[in-house]
Amino acid sequence: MISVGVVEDHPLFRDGLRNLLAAEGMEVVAESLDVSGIDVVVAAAPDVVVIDLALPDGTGLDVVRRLRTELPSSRLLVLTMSADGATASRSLAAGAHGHLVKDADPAEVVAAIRSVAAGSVVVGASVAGRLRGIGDTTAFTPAAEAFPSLTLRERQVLGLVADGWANPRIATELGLSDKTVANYVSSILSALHARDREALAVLVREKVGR
Amino acid sequence: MSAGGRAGSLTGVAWTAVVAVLVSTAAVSTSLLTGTTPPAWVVTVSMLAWLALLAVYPSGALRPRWAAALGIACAAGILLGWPAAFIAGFAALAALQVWRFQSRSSVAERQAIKWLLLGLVPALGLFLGVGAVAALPGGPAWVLHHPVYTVLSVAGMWVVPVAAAVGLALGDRGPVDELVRWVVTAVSTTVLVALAHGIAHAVVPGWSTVVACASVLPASWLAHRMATRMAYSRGPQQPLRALPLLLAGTTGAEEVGPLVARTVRDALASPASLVRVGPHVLGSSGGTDLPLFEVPVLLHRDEVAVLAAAARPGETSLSRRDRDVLAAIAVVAAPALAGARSARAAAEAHHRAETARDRERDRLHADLHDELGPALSGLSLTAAAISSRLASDDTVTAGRLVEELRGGIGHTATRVREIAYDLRPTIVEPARLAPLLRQRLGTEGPPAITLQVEPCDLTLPDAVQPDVVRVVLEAVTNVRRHADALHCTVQVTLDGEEVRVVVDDDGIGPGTTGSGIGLSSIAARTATFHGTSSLLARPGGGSRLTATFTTGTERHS
Repeated sequence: MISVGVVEDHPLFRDGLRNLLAAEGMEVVAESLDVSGIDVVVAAAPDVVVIDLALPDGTGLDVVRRLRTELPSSRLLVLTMSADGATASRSLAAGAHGHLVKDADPAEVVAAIRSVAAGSVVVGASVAGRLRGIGDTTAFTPAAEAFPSLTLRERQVLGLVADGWANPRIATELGLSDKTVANYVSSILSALHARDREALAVLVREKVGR
Repeated sequence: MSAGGRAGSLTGVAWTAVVAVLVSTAAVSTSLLTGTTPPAWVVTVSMLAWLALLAVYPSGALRPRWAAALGIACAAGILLGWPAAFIAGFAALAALQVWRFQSRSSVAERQAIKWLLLGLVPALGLFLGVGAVAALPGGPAWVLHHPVYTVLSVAGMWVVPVAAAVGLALGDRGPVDELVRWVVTAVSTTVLVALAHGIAHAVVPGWSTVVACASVLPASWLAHRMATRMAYSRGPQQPLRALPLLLAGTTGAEEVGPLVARTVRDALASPASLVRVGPHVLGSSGGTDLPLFEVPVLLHRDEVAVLAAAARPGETSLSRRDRDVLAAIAVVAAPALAGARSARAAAEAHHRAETARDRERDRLHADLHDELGPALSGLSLTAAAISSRLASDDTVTAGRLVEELRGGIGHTATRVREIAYDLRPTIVEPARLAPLLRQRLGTEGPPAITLQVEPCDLTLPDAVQPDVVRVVLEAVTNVRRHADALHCTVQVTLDGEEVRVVVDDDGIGPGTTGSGIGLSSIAARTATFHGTSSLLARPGGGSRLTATFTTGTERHS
């Protein structure tokens, strides 16, 4: 029987996953709601750990990195709402053995867990086509968890600023005017109490690990 | 011939005149120092060279054209043996230099003329000052024949062409303004004090020293004013006159600030200027690290902007005249600056509205993506589990899972209702926090909910109130669903600028299944307002959720 650990903060999803795995002959041996509670999972040393990326006190990527060192024999499957290729790339780069989107068919979820447990690397069908190269350095949007005070648009601008893009290029990329981009940059600087664009780049590197 | 080539050949004319003066001065000064009389033709050539220099310096062109006639007339006088023609021509052409300086000139020409003046002032100061004192009735006429005066007068003859050559070579580079100011101040003060001494010596012989001492202060004040005017004599008039036309020619509000800043800098000959509205700089010119002196721009008694300028090099602050000039610019520029301020305010309001809309969309996105999405996926997994149990004839477990599924669907339906409620126009809601929370929390129980809002008529700013309400609702929803509590107390207090939300329950405590829901959403909402959130166990059982918000520091306010 495959033993499974779950790191997931959403109760209904966690309940559903537990029910499904029990019905399919697998056992959930440990559950954690957040990053700080994963000691329970480490102690249980399950065959597979299913990890959500958006956790209340951090990101699932931190859990992946930690479990890779503390549970080298366990297989890690990221199960998240993010269907973009860049997120999947980062999951795999952090050391996960699989990346699946939560709205995948239940049969696909079960199959993915079995495959990962058997030693395969699995990427969900809905993100496989959008997967970027691992360690891809092209522009990205920092996660909302890292910058909760910024809007999605501001995070898009922040990601491009952190990658060293100039305002006109950002404006072209996002279909905005130069002035609007300048306004976004100044409101980001004020929201993050940053001195200049370099400080923003440093902040993004610190928070997102790029 | 191209303009550049023509300018180059004209500069050659000016250089030729400078060299001619230098050569003839060498001949004349050699004779003077050796005690011999220079040949008449050398003196004549020297005088002609001087007139030529004054006529064509610094551009090489004769401006105005009638200066040519003046020069020719004076030259004819000199050739006919009338030394007065030289003196008249010299004075007239020197005056034309001043006219050229005041009229349209390039910066390089203007600065080159200042170099010439830098040489002329001490030379004329020497010749006129000593000459005037010596010529006074009873004055010390012997000084004109003293060897020291001879050496000084030779030096005075050299200093002008040398300064002219430096001016041509340096153009607008070099510290000529400062030198002019100091040299003119020093020379004028000396001449004025010497004159006072000389006049007093002639009129009241016993009091000449007293008069000379008493004249030092007014003389130096007058000399300093003259020197400042000479050094920075471009004056405010031209930039001030041009400002209304330039403002009328702007094509957008964003051009007004830089234009006014440039005008301030030009009018004061200041090294740096700045125009700002509140903390926002509309325009600046020059180095901004210098200390700036400010003058408000008023319109309808309202401060629409602030003009600021740095003191000129070597000065510690703006003079009263500078402040008057700034005030004059402020009057002319006030309507345009008020327009620029309004345009900026409108742009900022537009950006704030866009950001508010983005935040609302983000919030909706988070509700759908982070809450409803996983909930529906979880329900789908449970449905798949039921299916699997039924396939294996495990009807008991399937029945339990169906009940669980029903509960989950009910939870999700409630959440959808809450999200829909949040999307209603806020105008239909009570403005005060206490009745609003009472309406939103409802009477559904258990647990029994006690609401305490301090002060009881608290109304929070529009920017923060919706988030406070959402945090309270999310916290209470958590308690209702997962805490298994009998009582729940909600406290909202305003202390200074901090809004504090505390939700206590007597349930099973944090860290249990289900208590995590909504926490990340609460953390995100408080972080937006520089606040914090925590969920901790209460001594004696139950949990306490604390969330803080800071009003007034909302990031776009």
